[in-house]
Amino acid sequence: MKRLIFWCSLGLFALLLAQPVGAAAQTTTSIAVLGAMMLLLRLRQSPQARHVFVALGIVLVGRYVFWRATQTLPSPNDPVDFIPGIILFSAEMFSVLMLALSLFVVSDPIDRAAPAPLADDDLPSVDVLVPSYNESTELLAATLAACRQLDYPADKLTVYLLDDGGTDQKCNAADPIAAAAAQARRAELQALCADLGVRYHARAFNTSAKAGNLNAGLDVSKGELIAVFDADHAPTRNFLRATVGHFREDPRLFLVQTPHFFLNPDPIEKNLSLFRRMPSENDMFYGLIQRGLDRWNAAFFCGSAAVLRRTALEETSGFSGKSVTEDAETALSLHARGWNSRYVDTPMIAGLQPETFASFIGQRSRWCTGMLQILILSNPLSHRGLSVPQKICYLSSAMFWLFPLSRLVFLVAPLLYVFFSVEIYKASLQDFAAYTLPYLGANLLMQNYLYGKVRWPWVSELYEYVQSVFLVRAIVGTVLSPSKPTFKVTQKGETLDEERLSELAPPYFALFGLLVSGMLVAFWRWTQEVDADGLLLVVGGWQLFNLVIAGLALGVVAERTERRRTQRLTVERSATLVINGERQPVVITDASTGGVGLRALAISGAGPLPVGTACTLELPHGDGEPVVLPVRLRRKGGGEGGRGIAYGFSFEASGYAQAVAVADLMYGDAGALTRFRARSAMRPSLAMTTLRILSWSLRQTLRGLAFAWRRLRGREAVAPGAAP
Amino acid sequence: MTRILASLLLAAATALIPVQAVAQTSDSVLRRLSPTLEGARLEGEVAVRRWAVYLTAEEALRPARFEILAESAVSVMPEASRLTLSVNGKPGGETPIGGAWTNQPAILPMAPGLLHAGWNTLVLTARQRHRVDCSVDATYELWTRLSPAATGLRLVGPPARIASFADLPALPLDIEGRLPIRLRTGVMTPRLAGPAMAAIAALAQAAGAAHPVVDVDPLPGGGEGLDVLLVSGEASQRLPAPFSLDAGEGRPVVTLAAATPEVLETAVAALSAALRREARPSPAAVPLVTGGETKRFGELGVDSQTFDGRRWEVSAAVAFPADMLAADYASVRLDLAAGYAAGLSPTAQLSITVNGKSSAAVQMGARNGGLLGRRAISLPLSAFRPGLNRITLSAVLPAPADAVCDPRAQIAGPERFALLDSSTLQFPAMARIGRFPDIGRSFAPHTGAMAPRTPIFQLGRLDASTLAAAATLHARMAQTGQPGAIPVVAERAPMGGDPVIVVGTALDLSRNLLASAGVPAATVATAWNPRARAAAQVARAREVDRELVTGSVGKTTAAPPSPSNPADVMSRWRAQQGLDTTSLRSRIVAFAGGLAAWLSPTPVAALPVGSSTDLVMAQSVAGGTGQITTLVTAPTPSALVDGTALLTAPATWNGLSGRAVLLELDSAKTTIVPAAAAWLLGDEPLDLVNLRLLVAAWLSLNAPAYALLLLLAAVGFGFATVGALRRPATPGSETTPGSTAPGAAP
Repeated sequence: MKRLIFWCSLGLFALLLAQPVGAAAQTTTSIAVLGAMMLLLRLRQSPQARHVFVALGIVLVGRYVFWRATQTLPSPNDPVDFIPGIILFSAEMFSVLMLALSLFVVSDPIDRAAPAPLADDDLPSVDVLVPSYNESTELLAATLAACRQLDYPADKLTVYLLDDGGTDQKCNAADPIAAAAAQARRAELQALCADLGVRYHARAFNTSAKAGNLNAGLDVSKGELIAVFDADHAPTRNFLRATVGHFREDPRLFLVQTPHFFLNPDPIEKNLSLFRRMPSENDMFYGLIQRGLDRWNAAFFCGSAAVLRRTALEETSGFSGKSVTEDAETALSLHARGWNSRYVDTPMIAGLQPETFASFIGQRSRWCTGMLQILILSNPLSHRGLSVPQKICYLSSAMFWLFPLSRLVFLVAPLLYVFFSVEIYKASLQDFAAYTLPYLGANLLMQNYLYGKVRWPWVSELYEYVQSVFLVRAIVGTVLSPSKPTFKVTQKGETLDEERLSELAPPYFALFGLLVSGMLVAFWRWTQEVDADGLLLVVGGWQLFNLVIAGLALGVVAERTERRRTQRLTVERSATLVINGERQPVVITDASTGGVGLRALAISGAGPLPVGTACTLELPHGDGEPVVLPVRLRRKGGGEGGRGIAYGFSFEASGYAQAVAVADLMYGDAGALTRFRARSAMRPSLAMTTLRILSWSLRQTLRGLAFAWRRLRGREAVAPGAAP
Repeated sequence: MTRILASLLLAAATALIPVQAVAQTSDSVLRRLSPTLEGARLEGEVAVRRWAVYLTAEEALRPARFEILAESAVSVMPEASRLTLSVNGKPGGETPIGGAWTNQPAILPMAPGLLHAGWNTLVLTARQRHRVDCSVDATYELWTRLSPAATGLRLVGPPARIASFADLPALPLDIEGRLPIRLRTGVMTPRLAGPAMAAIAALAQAAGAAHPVVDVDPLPGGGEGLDVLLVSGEASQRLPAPFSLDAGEGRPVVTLAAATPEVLETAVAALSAALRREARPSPAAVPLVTGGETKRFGELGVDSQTFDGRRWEVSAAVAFPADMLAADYASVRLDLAAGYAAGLSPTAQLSITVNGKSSAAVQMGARNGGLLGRRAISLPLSAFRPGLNRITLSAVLPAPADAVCDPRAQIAGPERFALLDSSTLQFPAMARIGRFPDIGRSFAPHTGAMAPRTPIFQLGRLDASTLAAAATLHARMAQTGQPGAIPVVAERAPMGGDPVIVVGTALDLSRNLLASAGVPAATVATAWNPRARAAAQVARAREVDRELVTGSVGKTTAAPPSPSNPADVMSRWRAQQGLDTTSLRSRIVAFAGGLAAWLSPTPVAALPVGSSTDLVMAQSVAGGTGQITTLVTAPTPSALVDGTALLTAPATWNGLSGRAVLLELDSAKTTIVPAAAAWLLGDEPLDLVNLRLLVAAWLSLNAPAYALLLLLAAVGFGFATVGALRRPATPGSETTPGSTAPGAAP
């Protein structure tokens, strides 16, 4: 009955939208609808308000699509206009389709409650798999230490390091230098594992990349559940307690996924100095889209920070390896077999973003390639066993990665008009004002309303633009030979020592130059031509928008060094500081991989503590022996409000004891990550953000150009870096 | 330069001298031209008139010449200005204009073989240039006025003998371009009047008369024209046939047996059938579009042309069906094949007006010239109307050289603009329903289900003048209505149902009838009493003298101001701006008005009838039945006859709209009173396609309703979505349905 009402109201709605009323009635409608949307924006979000808001947005989008399809297409008799016109129209319709799919996905996001706590005896056995390829021992030490400290009965928890960098194949490589390096790595990691109580496993051959490695791990382990953590994904203590309960509630559950959460900025945030000033890019996916997918039982495996059921994986002979995104592919085939998934929106791992722009692009190329492989090799639409909502969800996730095509069309289309007068969009200024502007407005308002807290306006456009330039290559390659691309590991934990221009920068400068010359030509035409009237104005505005984004991108490829090498997490732990044999109770206020901040309520006797003093920090650790860490005082701040003087200490420990301590300090407190993420509770104002973006763009354009200038002058050496 | 001018003048003079000698010959007949929609005044730098002239086979063999009597504004430069005639697409000669005024017509001899039997197409193109001022503004001073009485095709020999009905179009027209038709009868009953009117209408149509005018008299008529003789009583027994055509001395006479109404009806039916068989329809008819067609400019009488002046204009006319609903649910698409030269001023512009409403504009004047064909131009359907529509393209093409104003450039300058006849107008599917009251709609071409209605005439009195007025009206209506239909003539119209046309002087009509059309008895008593009219006539005679000098006679105006009510003034302004159908407020008023009138019929607002008003045509819709009554009334019988004749002149008739039209005879002034309330009436079948278009049209006309409906639909859809998404509480997941908006406010 509810469904009948839904379909009837949808039909009526569509029928009304497809009425060929003129521009006058459209203007009235646009004003009324935009007014209503603004009004709803001010009201408290309730499901009713939200869906009415979206429906209002659909009114303007639908009116635009109807008008665009019936009134504005160039005549097929004029191929010079028609072919680009149809391409632009297709790109726009792709955007509308993606909007529709994503509206479906996020129509009803779930906030999952924690499962009922289980007694230790009822807990299933869990194998923790940490696949690694070339990550450093320090990075692995932190992750493995955190895994070992997971709050779980020791007899039911086994941690495996699956080392693909130390396989027999690598150790016996033809190149003696590589072979020696692999053997050394294997030995070092085996020692680390022995130290931490982790099982080391390296397989014979490096087949099927990460999926193959995980499958090898499945073979050697036997736990009922499998937890997977990437080498840089250190879990918090409560990770398993917060997830395994779900498997008891639903015997057909194959996956509990949790967010990937990062303590450092991605290269774009870093280079634009936006980290923690606005929501991170992946907040939208993990903060909203996965919750939306969960509603349709379509939350998918993201390769790490997840728990899976062994019996489910056995049905598909382990992890699938057809595509380079084995995670989503595995989830797709298990969903198709009637298994369920859940998503828990609590950050319980802390990972690292790729450091350089090039490795960021490399990572995205892999995601894009993999999702397109899924689209081509196992199209969700024709995949048997999936429910209709699941098909829509997977289609949305996979087709999203076609965005570079439409993004580039939107970039090129205005240039075609400016340079060659190709009229690919037939509309009067009045129609543009009545249809197109309200459509754009509705899009912005909907984005702001639905995603405002996880994504600022215009930021999607920036991310899409910077990726598009290189992802197009990945798309073309994948479409031409879908099964060819192979897995490449994203570089993590690299460091950038000096500011430099990314090696991927040239295309961005070329595009920027093209857009600037387009603007100049447009301006020249504006002053010279009388028949290039309103259309030129519209196209000029469109180009200006492209230019703002392209200017921001210049800042993106002008890479900064990370000033803060390690991110501090706010924690609250009591510990004991030993200064010259004197024990002082202190409160640790923040912790990072490099050191801790603490407040001492009273440092008596020792007198003023000079910077550089070596001390010892004793951390109580469960019921056992406290962990003892050598530390050195680096800075101190004034005591404020009687809460004691703040001190900053760096770790001075050698070996892995430090890793264990850091894992304990940073990941022992389950709330630390949640507090770190703590999304702003307010949607930013659309106008303010737009102004802010404009000013950033201006600044970043100048910064990018200054970098390029320095490089041209030869003052800057091109830093070596990994190409994607 | 002076040498060039001198030689030109000489050439023009030598061309004229022998011709004027021929003009003196007698024993010839002047075939005058039908009045055109545009009138006899050729204005601006270029103006085109087009006529169809019918020649019998015998006439086609005679020597012929085209005579033009015209006077021009003093500003017209004779060396650069001329009238060019084209006959059946071939050059037919040209004559300069703008020289000293003469009462001798200019003469263009027709080469043998140029004219042929049957319909001939004559196109007269005026090219006019200013003597001293090359500005765009100065082009408005340019005019040449043709004298309809002395312009036409002169054929040597006596008037043609109309031997068959096929030759009826060869009947010469009177000095005003009308075809006089006399109904000759001694007795008249309503039962006889109907068939007689049908016969007259059928004959007028067969004659291809643009403006037939009927009078009623037992005696034979003189001069140009046609007599229709009803033979009643015993005499009818002696007739050899129910109908016959006699071409003797004087007017041709069509004789009809009218012993009884039934006999007359039979005779008229036979006559109509014969006319349909033999008639040669005039090619001059305005093409009718019912939606979905694409018309080339060539088909609409617009030829390919180039232009070297600074203000160019061309018009095309199409007729829309009577029941089309004009609103912005679709647009007429204009695909231009046109271009303009390099070097025009940046202000150059092409504008398109539809029925006088500015509908689109295209900027020209790019430095290197340009083509206009790339972008299709949308003309809003709301600018169109049922019946005749005029689409006017006018280009303003100033160039920097105009400041110098070199006479050589005026005589033959570089071309500035070109239009090809392959330009097209593409007409959309139209919603089909009548929106009343609308006089224009009532007399627009009826097609489809609306057509086969028998007109019902209610005559105030069955006398000669009333019948003449009704017959004139009917003959004009029949040109776009159903051919051969015999109207019902009654002294009391049947109530309910079919539309009724009431004709009569104010004194012959009931007070209720007049009042329901907006002519209350009080108005008749004050404005139309003989003394008031006499006084008005004196005042008007002076005014007309003045207007003749300034050239403002025959202008159409909107309803005169009624100073007491500012709302009326506002609505008039709105109407003048062409905004009355699009403005939000007036639309609500119109809809609400229609609704209110339907709920409680109230007296229609009085029309601004004054002492100088000679004829009122007003339409009203009956509250209960939806019956449409169109009233034609005048203060006196002669005003009724003359007023009807003026009303049916092409220029007046095709501009009719609104709920009422007021005419003044002396100044030929037309006042249109827009409708305040609108009724949607029609009997076109409501199939899905039409219903969809109607809904779209109604929503276009009622924008707030559309916006409101969409808002409601969106709210409905939003709530339906919430309902559809509500999920049963899944064990353990303990979700709060829906309240999970991203970061739902705590």
